[in-house]
Amino acid sequence: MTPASPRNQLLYGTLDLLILRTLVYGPAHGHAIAGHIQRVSEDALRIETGSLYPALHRLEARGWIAAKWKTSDKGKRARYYRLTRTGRRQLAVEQTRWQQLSVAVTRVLRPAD
Amino acid sequence: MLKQLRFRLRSSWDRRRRDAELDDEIRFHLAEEAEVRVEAGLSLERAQAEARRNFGNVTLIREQTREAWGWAPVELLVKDIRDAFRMMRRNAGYTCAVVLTLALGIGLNAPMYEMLSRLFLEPPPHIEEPDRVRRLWVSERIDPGDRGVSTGRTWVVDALQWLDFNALTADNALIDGVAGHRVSFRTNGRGQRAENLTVSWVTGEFFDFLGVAPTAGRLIATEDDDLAAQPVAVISDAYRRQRFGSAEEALGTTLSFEDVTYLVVGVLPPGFSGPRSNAVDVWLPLEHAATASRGNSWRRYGTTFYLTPFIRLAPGATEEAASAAVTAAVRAARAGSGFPDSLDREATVALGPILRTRGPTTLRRHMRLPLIAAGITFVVLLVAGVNMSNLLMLRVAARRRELAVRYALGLGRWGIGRLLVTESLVLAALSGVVALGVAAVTGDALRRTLLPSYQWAEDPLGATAVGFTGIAVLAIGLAVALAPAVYAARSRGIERLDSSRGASALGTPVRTGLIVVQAALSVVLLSGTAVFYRSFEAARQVDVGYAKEHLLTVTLGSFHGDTRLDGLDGAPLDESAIRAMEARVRGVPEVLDVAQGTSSPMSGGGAAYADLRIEGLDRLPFRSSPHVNFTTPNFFDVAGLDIREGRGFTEWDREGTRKVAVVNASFAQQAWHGRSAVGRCLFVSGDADCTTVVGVVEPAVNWTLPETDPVYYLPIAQGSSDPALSGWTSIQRALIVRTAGSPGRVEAPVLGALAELFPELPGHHVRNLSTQFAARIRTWRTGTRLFAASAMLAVLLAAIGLYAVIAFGVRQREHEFGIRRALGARASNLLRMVLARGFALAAAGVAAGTVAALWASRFVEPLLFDGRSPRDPLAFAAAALVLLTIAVMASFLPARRASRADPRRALEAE
Repeated sequence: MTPASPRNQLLYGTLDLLILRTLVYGPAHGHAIAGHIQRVSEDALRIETGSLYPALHRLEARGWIAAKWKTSDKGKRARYYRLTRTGRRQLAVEQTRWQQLSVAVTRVLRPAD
Repeated sequence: MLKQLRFRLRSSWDRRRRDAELDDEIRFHLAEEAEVRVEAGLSLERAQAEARRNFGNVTLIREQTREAWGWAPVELLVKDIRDAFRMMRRNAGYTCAVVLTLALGIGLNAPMYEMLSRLFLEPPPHIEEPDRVRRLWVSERIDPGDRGVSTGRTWVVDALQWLDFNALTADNALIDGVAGHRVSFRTNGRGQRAENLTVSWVTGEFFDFLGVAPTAGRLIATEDDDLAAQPVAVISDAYRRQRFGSAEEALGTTLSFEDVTYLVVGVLPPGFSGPRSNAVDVWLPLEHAATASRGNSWRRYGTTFYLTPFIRLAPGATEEAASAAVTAAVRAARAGSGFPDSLDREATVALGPILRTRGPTTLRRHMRLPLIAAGITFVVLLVAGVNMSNLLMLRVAARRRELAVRYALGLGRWGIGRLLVTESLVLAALSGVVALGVAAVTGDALRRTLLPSYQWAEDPLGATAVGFTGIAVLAIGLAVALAPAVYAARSRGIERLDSSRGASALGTPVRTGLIVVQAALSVVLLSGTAVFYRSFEAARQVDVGYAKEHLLTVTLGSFHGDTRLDGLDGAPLDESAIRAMEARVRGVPEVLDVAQGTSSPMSGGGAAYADLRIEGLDRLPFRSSPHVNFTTPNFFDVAGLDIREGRGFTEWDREGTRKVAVVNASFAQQAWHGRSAVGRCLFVSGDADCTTVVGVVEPAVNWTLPETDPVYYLPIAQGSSDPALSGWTSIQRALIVRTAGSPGRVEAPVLGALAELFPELPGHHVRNLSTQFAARIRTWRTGTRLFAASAMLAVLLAAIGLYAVIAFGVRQREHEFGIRRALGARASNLLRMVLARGFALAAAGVAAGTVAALWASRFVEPLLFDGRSPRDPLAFAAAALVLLTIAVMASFLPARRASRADPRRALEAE
């Protein structure tokens, strides 16, 4: 595997966290997940929506989310992802890690008291 | 974890479906995205374009997503196997060579191990809880006085006489059951329709004891083993098929043995042969069969009526306790009345597995042969494996460039190793499939050659054979790839993409080593062949005494084997009847002369022992008991036995004249140590008057090759004072027939003439002495053929291997040879150089192989004729010579190529 640059890694981890977090509200297809992430972050996190899919499939391969073909509200067939039990556990782990990280970053950025 | 695995498996099985799904997923996303924009007021076209732009590079994303799926191991395997097949198709010749040799190696071994497993490991089929069944091994001292047996040695045998056997059946908490059987050859029916069958006489409990169920009808039960009951018989499945066809037709028919008619009441399952490994045709109740054969005397002691006993251990009973109990029972019985004093009252009984081959007696010759054969085929397998490894090694060397490219493309060392292992495994698996075919074709012939009378399972490809093939394929596939894979994965072997020179020397030690191993194994097989061939030749040229070429023996009646010594209800043949038969046979065309004897040549059948004393000697000086043969005066002449001293019998040696005897040379030598035998005095059957030795005749083969057993001859016309012996001479008679042409042509007319004269007589037994002799030396012939075929294969493989290695070396060094030419080396110098290399490799092989063969010689030693040494210098020299010659021949073509190297091309290249 090609070694990812630190920025990429951060982005990767973030994206995974965001996907897992999104799926807490229930199963959703890729487009809906992308839309939700954009809406919630108030377009602050603009991602190329396509890059969502490698992440989704990677999470599936790890067993954190599971996928199933279902008919959407509009009557079209779409691939719906849902959080698995391990995924839920993983989400907690990632969230903690993220919070620790963001606390640390905030502390660094805050001017010395 | 499990989910992950399932995901990976699924992703590997239907990658193509997943690709389509991913496309669907992306298409759905783009459609949704476009729809959102259309709702926001964009035109459909622009909305779609923007959606695509927003999405990013579709192809790249598809790639990245696929990467996320990962390569499942199974998928890698499929890819590697496909690569391996591609390689095999490209090198069809190489593939064929490897697959064929390996298939032969495995295919010969698979039935061999099936056979060994049946012989030594698996209990006979259809027996309930065979682990609890025990064979009894009795060791007892033979009394010196007993019927002229000369030494007081101990013998170990899996048989008991009836009174001993009866002692076992007494109540014992350690034993759940007792059964016994006795197997012999018997004749069913009479006259020309008579057939010889293998018959087992069994105690009433026998089938219940074994726990076998019939496929039709019922089996012999306890109440059938009673003289008051109707005589019944059960038959084997093979005999049912051969004789009757369906089971319905078999049931209710009758068989007739020794004037008793048995009703066939049941058929046994296929493959059943009781606790014995050799096939049985018919089972009869002991009481009926033994009484018909022996009268009531079989129950008495000392009648040589033996029964093979089996016990079933009670659950939880230990072997030690049970054997102690059985020994105690036998000793207690022998201490009682009815047993002669000569009996060993200290006999011990040991328990052994149901398989006779695992008993305490040393392996007999016919059991050793399969073991040796398995050893030989295993060496062939080794040779094939080494050959394959060597060829694979050469392939790696030749593919250096390809491997270097693959390495550069990121396959990695592990990947290259994996590639080679996969290739070798695929080759081995392919060979395994072909091997199963080889085994199916040759397996049956192989085992019938090695052990003709064994009760084999119907299918030569049993679970053991298939299992062996599987294991062999895996083991060889991995082992063979080991050296090439290590060599290829070593970076030095693949780093030089640019050069085709220099790297060729890499791996050479391994290749040379493999060639030496191959040559050594070939030498082992070659010297085995030579040793066996010398044994075979010696056995073939042994003087059997008899002029065997045009000799036929006809054993009259069916009384070979057991005989009715006592309780004989009127001997079936009297002298006038025998004379009439002799006259009739004499009238058959191509018959030159006919003689009579009580013991038929070269079979040992009909041998009789009498109490014998030699004047002037306290005890018999023989290693084995001398047996007596009663003959007519022309016997020596017809059989082609030379009188060495004195005279043979004449018409004057008859009742009332002086009693005379002729002894064979072994007898004379052992009794009188080269001093004249004529005029010596024998006392036969406790007679007070002397039987004078009038001549010495050359030894003739009866049991062993070559014969050293002492034999003495008495004239039939003078009879015997011992009623048992005179009864013997009246029922045990063989006609010895000298023919003008091939004895085979005379067999049927002789039998026809006899049947015409006495249609009601039981079957006569005709034997052709040359055929019989051939059967006698079967072990050595089979051994020689087996060794020779294996050695040929091994030498061929060694030649191929050597040729390949030398030729490869020459090709790689062509440039160097050119330069040598340019510097003034002569063509003959180069030729000699390459030949010397081939010779040196073979010589190393010969040295290693000779050492290995000397070590292995101990295993074949007991099989060789007449105690010949397996360390025969001539045989080893011959083996070495053959291999060295082959090696020089195999290196000749590459050597010539080397000698023709072009100096100009080499210089231009510099």
